[in-house]
Amino acid sequence: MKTSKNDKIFEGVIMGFLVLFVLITLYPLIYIISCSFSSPKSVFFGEVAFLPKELSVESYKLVFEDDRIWRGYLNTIIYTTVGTLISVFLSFTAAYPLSRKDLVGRKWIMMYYVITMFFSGGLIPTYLLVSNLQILDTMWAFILPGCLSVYNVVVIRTYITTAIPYDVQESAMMDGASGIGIFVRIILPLAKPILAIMALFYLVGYWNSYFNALIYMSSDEKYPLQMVLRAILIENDTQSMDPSQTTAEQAMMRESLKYSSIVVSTVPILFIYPFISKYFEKGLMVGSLKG
Amino acid sequence: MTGKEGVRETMAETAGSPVKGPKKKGALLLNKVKKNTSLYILLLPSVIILFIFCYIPMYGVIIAFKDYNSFLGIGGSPWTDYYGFKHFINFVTSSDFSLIIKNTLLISFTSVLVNTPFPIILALMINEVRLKWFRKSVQTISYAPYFVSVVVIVGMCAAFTNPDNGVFTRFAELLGFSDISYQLHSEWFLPVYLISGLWQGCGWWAIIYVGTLSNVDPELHEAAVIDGAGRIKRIIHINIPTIIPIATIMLIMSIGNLLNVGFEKVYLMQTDLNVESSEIIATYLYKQTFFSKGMKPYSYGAAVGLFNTVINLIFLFGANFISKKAGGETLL
Amino acid sequence: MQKRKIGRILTLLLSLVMLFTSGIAMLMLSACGRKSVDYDPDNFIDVDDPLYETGQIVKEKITIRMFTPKNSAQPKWEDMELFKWMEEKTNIHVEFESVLLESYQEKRGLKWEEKDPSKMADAFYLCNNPDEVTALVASNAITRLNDPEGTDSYSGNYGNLIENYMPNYKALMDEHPGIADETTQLDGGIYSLCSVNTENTGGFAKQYINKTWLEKTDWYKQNQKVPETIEELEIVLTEFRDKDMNGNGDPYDEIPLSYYTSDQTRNFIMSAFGFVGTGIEMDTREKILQDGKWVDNPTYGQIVWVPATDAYREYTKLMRRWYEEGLIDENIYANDAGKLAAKGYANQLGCFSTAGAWLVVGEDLDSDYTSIGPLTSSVNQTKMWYQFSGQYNATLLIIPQTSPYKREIARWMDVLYDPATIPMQYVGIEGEHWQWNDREDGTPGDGTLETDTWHFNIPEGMQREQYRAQLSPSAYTDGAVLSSGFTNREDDPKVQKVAEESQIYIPYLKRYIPTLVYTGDQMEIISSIEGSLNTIMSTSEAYFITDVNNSKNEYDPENDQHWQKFLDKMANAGNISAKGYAKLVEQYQAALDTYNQRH
Repeated sequence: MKTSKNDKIFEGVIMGFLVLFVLITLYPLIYIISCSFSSPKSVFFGEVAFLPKELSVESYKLVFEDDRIWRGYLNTIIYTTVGTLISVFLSFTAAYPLSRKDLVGRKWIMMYYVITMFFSGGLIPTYLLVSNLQILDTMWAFILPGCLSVYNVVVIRTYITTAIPYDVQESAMMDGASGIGIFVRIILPLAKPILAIMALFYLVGYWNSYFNALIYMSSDEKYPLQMVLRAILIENDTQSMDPSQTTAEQAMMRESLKYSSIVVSTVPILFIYPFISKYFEKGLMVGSLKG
Repeated sequence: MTGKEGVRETMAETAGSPVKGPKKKGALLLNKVKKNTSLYILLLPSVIILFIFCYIPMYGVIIAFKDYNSFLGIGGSPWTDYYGFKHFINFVTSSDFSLIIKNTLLISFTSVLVNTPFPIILALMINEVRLKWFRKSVQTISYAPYFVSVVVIVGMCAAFTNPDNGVFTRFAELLGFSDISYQLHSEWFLPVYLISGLWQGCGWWAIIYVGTLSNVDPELHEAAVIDGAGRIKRIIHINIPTIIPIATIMLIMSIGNLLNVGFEKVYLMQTDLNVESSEIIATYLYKQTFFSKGMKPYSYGAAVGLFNTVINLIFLFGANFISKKAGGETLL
Repeated sequence: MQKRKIGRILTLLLSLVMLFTSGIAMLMLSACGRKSVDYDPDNFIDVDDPLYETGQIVKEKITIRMFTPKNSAQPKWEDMELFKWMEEKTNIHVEFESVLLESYQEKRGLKWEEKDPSKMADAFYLCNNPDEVTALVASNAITRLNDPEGTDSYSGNYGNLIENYMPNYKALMDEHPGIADETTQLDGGIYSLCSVNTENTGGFAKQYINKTWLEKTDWYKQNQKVPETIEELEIVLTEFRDKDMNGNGDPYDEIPLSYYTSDQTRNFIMSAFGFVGTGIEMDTREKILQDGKWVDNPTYGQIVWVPATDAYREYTKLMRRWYEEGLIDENIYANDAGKLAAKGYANQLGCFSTAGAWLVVGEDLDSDYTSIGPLTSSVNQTKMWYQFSGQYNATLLIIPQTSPYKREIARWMDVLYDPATIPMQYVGIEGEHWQWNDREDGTPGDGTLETDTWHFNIPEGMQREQYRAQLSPSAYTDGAVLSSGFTNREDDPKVQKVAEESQIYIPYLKRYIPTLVYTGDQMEIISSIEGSLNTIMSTSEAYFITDVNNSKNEYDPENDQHWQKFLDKMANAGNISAKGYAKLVEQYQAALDTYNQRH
């Protein structure tokens, strides 16, 4: 296609808009990073606008001294790892059979899954269940309720039916491969993009969730990071303040601790996603089309 | 799930397997089940998990019709007056009801209104750029905020709109607003909620549209160019129609979840001073459940929750029905 | 068609299998949990046992679980010196299930759903609010502590726990009849233990005014006293606003009155109008103004919903005027303790509420401030001061019926009521964490003389409260027994100053209402209405005062229509079963009548 002058102008305008959009998207993130590297005083009095003011790592010192954050970090890493493994396993083992057209009763089984998207027993019955299972105040209470997203199962199922040719499976079946065999040897290797995406989805979900911890976990040494953040960011609670400081200085420290804890908790997630992003457009697209 | 799919399925089967007669069909199916035992084994873990964590608690909805008392248990608690509907009647006649419903609907409708067009516009714009690295980086950056947790988002909102030192407060002052703290002023709750939501989700929701657009047959565009269609014309006549079906499905999905306004975010953003705008069914339910005096009214909470679910389903089927009547895409 | 049928049968079968297996799994899981608790009744050291006098409670060490709230500044409760000492003395290890205050309400509510006695807490320590206790009593869920027929399946007939196993608490009850008043339920049973302030009259905040500034005012030069009426205070605050009181050259940086929503300044202002709070309250105004004359208050001693009174309207009018005129900090609703302190340290505050002035303004400016007592106004002559916790608080401890360790807990708690452990609950072990100072004549002090003082050994670089938190839970939550006779004798001049400043309030202390006991029906009506009323109140007052919602402009206390609308809203709060503040008042009044009959 030839590009006319008009086209070029048009594209220029669009790119201008997009640059603006990118700036708007990035500004809050940059602002937070700047604040976290500024002196507590300049943050408290709102002197930071874009770049750090009075460069300082004081607020990071606070984060590093705050053992709640590190304990929360460790817990979150454990919960996230275990939870993601379980969730991915469950989602794929559910999605593959459901993608097979020769599965007898497929529609009904599907219904069994879909109903759970719209109906639930509610908080108290679920709590009673978790309590009866003897998993209150353990990692399992954080992970298991809600470890399977039916929506994700549907997405994976659609991916398998649309992106992996059925012939491949059929020829394997001719060779006498069982369902599990096909799943492990053929489907999983071919479903790598969607596998990566689902792993990321679940990982982010676990990393960012706090509600299960709020309800099912009572010992603060088992709290995941987000519960600690909730205390710091929303409830304005800070523990490891230097006691020799006055209340006013503490108020300043508290403000700046907010920013550094945001950075510390969010950076790992933001670092992971570009590595997976190459799968994104491909996998998510195909998967959601029939979602 | 759709009827169409069902038809397709049977056709595939009749074409794929040499059916000899209706009598043999049953035996054949049993045979098939046997052949695919391993598939059922694969299904087993997720079926069990769903059964335990979703189906077992479902019997608990009956506490909505009872005066639940922890010490009598679900079975032993007495049924309520009004044939078990006392809690529903109390909720609907509550003086808070109209406010809660108003807020819930307002927040969800405006969310749909804001969150539907912007990602489409973003996707259309990204699609127009031909510099590959440029569109790649715009897209990658655009969905970065999606990974920020709700807790952090709300923490950011609070810090940014802080009346003393918030950075957006200072911007707003330049624009002539005095104070934009959603924590203090209920009228700022909704704007902050929507804008932060859009900031977080716009790029993410655009992914799917960008993908759809990249699948458009290039020949279509070439043909249009030959016909002398300019870029804007092509966007209107080719790109937008391509997106509409998927946008419809997304819309139906979000209407089905109208009353499921994200509890976590609203609850975290709620303060005493903004309840007038921020009290929604979910937060009301939560507060009633846990912060009431005396015995916790779990039954009342369950009734409010059930009310919410039923209304959601009505919306979902309603939207689906309208779309079907209009000849558009359907979800179910 | 047939295929569909088979599919259906198959799913049905599958679900049946699932149901069956899960059911069995559940049964097994719950069965192994429902095992009754191992309890050896003979392990308990009863009164007739020779070991009884040693203070030891059990022969073989046992573990008891207590559910407690926890402030994030506190260490693990097990690590507190008080409880370590208790363990050594009693041979009982207490495992605290401490839940951070920010999610305590949720966890506590859910804890009662625990049906497994081996996981259920043996006691709930702190935060046992009387309404919940009443409801638990109605469900027969907690142990009656004064039941002569007390029996359970574990230790048989244990009888009256207080009578048999709590000699110290019993002595305390004899000495302070108020304890029984506070804790006795409608059936005459006592189900919860009190925390007690033996001499002090409980918790209240002080209102501070900047004395240095006050002395510079023209009003003071004429009157030579601290303001005693709200009108006088207004004159003083106006002078604070207009003059460069702190002498920094800027006449505009002084903030005459500042507060944040959860501190007690609002109670201070409100009390000048005849009520200490803005909710349900017992009317204690002796006289009211009627047609310009003071007459006996016809509703004296009755329950009132304060926001519906003229007094509340007068209060909102005044607050709005002060806010508009700049006598009140313009950022009150964005304020918190930290921000208030930042202003205090900058010497900008004229008047504020706190427990001790130095907490807000720092030790350098502490001496500038003095306490200002209860005010009267043109519409109210009765002085009163809000007291947030009484001398006795029936919130300390309850024992669920499911616990086998009722006798053990009774004895364990009684240690806390021993007068000898009072100092320990405040500052730890004598000789280690604190000691009596020598008297002026050089002889060692021991607390027997009124003039004896003691010294708290705070390690270098430690903050007082932070250190106290390591010794006992009284630092951020509550202890069992405190005595101002002990606490006031600390040699810290700040403590002395605060003790003196407190004196002006003590004759006027008042709680909203006494601790009442409600019937189940009353409770249900109250909870139907009160939630909705609170929603109205949480926003209305802010709108009345700061008009923050000025776009709507429906909240002007001077405007009769706006006020009527507000009253109507409150009259309609609730649902079809129960509606309106009047109905709410009725319930409280009925409970109060019962209370009065009993006393």
